[in-house]
Amino acid sequence: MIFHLVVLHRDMRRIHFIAAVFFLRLFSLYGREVVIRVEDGELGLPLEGAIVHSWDGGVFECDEEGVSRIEVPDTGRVVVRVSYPGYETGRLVIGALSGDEMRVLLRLGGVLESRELVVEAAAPEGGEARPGRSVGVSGESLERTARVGIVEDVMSSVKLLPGVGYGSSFDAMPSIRGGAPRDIMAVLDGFYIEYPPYHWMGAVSIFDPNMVSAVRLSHGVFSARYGHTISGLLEVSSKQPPPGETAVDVGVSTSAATLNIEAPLGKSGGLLLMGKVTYWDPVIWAAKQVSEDVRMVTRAPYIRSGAVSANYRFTRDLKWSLNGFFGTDGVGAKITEDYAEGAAVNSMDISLDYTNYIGFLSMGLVWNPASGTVVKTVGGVGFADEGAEFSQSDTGSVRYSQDFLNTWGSRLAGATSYEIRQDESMSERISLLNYQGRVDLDRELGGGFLAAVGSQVLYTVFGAKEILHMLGEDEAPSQLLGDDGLWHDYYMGYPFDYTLDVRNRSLRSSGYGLLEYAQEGGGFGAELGLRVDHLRLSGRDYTLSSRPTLSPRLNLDFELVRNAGALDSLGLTAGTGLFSSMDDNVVFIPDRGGIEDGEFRLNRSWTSLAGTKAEFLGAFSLSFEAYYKYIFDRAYQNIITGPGTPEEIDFRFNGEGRVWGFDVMLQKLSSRYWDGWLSYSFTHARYRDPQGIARDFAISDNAAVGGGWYYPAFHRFHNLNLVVNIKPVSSFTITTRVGFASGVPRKEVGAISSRLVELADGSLIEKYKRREVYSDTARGGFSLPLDLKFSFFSYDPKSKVKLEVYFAVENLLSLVYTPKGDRDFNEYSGKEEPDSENAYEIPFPLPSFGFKWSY
Amino acid sequence: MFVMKMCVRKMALIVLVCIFCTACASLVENAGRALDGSAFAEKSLALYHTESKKGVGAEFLRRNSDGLEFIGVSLDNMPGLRINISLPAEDGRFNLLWLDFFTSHLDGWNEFSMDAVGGGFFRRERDTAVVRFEGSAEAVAITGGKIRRRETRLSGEDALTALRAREERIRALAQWMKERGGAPEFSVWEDFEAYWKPFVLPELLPARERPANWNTASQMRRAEDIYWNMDYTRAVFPENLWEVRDSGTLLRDWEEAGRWLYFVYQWESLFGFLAGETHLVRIER
Repeated sequence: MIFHLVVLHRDMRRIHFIAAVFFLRLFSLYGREVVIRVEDGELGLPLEGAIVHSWDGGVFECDEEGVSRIEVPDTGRVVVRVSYPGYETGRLVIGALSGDEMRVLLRLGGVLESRELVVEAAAPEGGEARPGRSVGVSGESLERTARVGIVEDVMSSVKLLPGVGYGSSFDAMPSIRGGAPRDIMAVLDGFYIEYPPYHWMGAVSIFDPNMVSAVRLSHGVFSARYGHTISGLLEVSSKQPPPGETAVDVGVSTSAATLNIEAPLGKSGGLLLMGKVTYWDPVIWAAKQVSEDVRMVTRAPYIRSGAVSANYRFTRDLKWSLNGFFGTDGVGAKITEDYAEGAAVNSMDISLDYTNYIGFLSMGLVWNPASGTVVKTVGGVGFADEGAEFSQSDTGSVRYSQDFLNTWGSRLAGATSYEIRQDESMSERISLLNYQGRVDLDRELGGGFLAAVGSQVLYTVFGAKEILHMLGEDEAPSQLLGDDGLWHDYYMGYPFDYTLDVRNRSLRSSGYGLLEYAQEGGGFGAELGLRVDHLRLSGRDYTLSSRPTLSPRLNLDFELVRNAGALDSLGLTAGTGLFSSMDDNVVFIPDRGGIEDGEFRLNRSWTSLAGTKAEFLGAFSLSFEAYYKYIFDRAYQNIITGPGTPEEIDFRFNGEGRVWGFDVMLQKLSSRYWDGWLSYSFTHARYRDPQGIARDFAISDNAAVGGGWYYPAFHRFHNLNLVVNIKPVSSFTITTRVGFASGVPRKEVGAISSRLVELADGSLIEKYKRREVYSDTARGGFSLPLDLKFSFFSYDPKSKVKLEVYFAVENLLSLVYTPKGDRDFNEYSGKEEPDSENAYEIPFPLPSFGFKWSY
Repeated sequence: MFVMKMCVRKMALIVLVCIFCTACASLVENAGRALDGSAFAEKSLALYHTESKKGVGAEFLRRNSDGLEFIGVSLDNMPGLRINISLPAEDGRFNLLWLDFFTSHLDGWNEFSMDAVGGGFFRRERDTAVVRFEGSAEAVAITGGKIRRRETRLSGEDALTALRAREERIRALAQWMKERGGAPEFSVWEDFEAYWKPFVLPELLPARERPANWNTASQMRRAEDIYWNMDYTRAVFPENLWEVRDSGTLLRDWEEAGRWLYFVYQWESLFGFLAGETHLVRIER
């Protein structure tokens, strides 16, 4: 019995063993174990106690690691639910291809997320505009205001901002708060674009909206981090293609084609390529049909440009970026005209050939070595090469007028006409090669304080070859007695030949340190900084060094009111600071000349301002800023020439300027039905060249007034801009830009009258002159630019491609009004040319039509 | 005769512009898909479609990343949706693997993949096929996707969070619509929009077209440039949708993901339609 029991026991053990092996084998054929890891979706913390409801009804509780294990079949797909008190139930599908470990992220439940999870575009006023320091435009505002017209240009948006003086439709070099247009400095992602970043001699900028995400114009008391300008810093932020994303934009219009491609660069980077080609030949052909002036164009203006932007994040704390640009532009014109002067036929032959190349490549690194510390470096190289050829030839025979014969007949030995053999020419080639690097370190100190230090070096090699041949005419210091018994003024003509051949090198070194404070929760903020700049300029046989310029800057910001009824916020800002810049013209200094030791300086300005900004009803903002700017140590030049005098350009560095004004801006933030802004700027700018030489024959307008105060040629008192985007339906937008700008200074002109000109060979000719005198009160006609754009948007629900079709007209009001200037006249006949009185603007509207596809 | 010639010329010009636009759009789409890799993500092996033009399609596909072969079932009246099912077993049974959904709007698009559970039968002959789903499928969770709105693009975890949040709101709204009842059957999105918009977003309509219980003296809240009638919100919608509507989020969901809402709303009827046998013929390409 006992034996049987033992045998039975053995058998049972065997049975159990066989059964266990069988079921284990069966299980391995039927299913597998999967680890479910449950975590808080936001914090990433394991949720101990979370309940996993298995597909087969089993319930498992997660351990302290948030882990639970369930068995699932090898084939087919099952759904597993995971719950945890206070959290929304999570679900996941486990299939044959799922791994052996799966993670479930649970989010706090109970409330449906609303606004904070709706994808939002960039803030419409964007560009990190800061009262007292800068104004900016980005996002939709930039898209709408820059993408207008036959050349889409970011400067079209900048020109509409407060503090920016209007130039003309095709002038992308505005005066910023009374500063010289060429003083504006452009920076792309920290890289200073040394040569002015323009096509067509400043008509449009190189910044295509396809390559730019935001632009900020700093024209107040901006941070000590930035320098090399005394009027305005244009900070352009390139589009940063997001990692892993792809986009394709193609634009085709009546005048240009653009292509934009964004593609992933590895797993953590993005690459953007942009190309633009203009084809203006049809536009020029059409313009030639309606305007005499355009018929001289032989080679239609063209732009070919390309840009690259790339970024890559190596680690969470280290990011690399690259920007590159290459562009070329040009234009050709030729006028060959025969015109009758009495019995004689004269010929005029003018030709112009202009070509420009500009490019740069820069790289940057942003590194966070520790919490609260950022190190930024930017380095790169840029170049530019601009060449222009111009020649004019007048030949023929001109009959003396009867009045002239009556006055000077006795001196003409019986001649009744004289021969013209007048050739004038200009050949210019300017090249530039620039290397630069900068490093910036920002460190949070705690308690709302931030300290920053940095340094920058700009090394530039300038080359300029210029040959100028023209007829100079100066009023003679004495008078001649005419046949009528009266003493008359007369002119002395002489060949003016100027040759410039320089290869200069400039080394600009800068350093800064600053301290920022921002009170927690707002209320008060301040920035105190000190910047040091130094310039060393060397030519073939000279070296000039400026004294180090110290530029302390202080900004104070107060938030007075927050969320008080309709008023969302009300702030005050005040600031004062010194700025410096290298004058563009000093790089053309051929030799040391009369520049004394210690005289060579950087342009300086001392700017002080106060302003206020209010935001209300969540939709509007109103800002006001008043400023005073004293300009000193400003470089200017005198052209010293005359009969028998070798040509010389004399540089001086004691120019002054006094600028004051105010800007007002009322902005309706980007919204569903309409948005836009109204800006008004008043600018009062007076300059003085203490050692300026007053003379009739002057290359520079400024030199004509001698040592007195004058309004610079670019000055306008009033600038008003209204930008309105109307969106009656979501698929249709009307963009309007209308401006008003009072006239620029204009010389007071006298009557056109006949004058005797004694040429260098002693021959006497008759030429017509109009006396022009600088005037504080004479102004040209005001400008009234009006641009309209109608955009239609469409999409296919099955496709990622969007289509925009637009029709735009620039300069629409030219149909009824164009600002008038003085009429040109023929200096041999004295006759006015009726078509020459339009000033500053193209005298006809410019329509454009195009498509844009976006993937 | 002259007028007629002018008309013909104008029409020819319009046709040319349309062809130009379509061709360029196709070019840009193909270029974009080539760049983002989606053009090479799958290889089409065979395509079947119902004989009627507006019907059901089934495409045999091979995923290039892992070689997975599956069938993408699409419905012509639900553009943007692809129901991915496994290759049928010997007995013809298949499993529902996941759904791909894409919806576009004027400012961008949403696209996502969603795990789903379900099954059915698929029988394939040489030139014909029959597909039949068994019962309704069950949506599980969005597993990945991307969002674009104007210049802002989201992917990865950011997109997943935003898509899941939007899905929750859409499900809540669709559930409210179902519970409200009284709605007719819809066959296209436009009919759905025309019926529901006056209830959901009466603020967008002229005053005379608003619901009878609209009270102009109600408390209003401004969001997305529209004054939302908070009393109407509370009278008509469940509490979990109050903030969503009054903050303008519902409007944004409607504008940017209206067809997604339509898809969720039509879920049962869509799979109800697929529960019947659908006969397909092979399309040669």
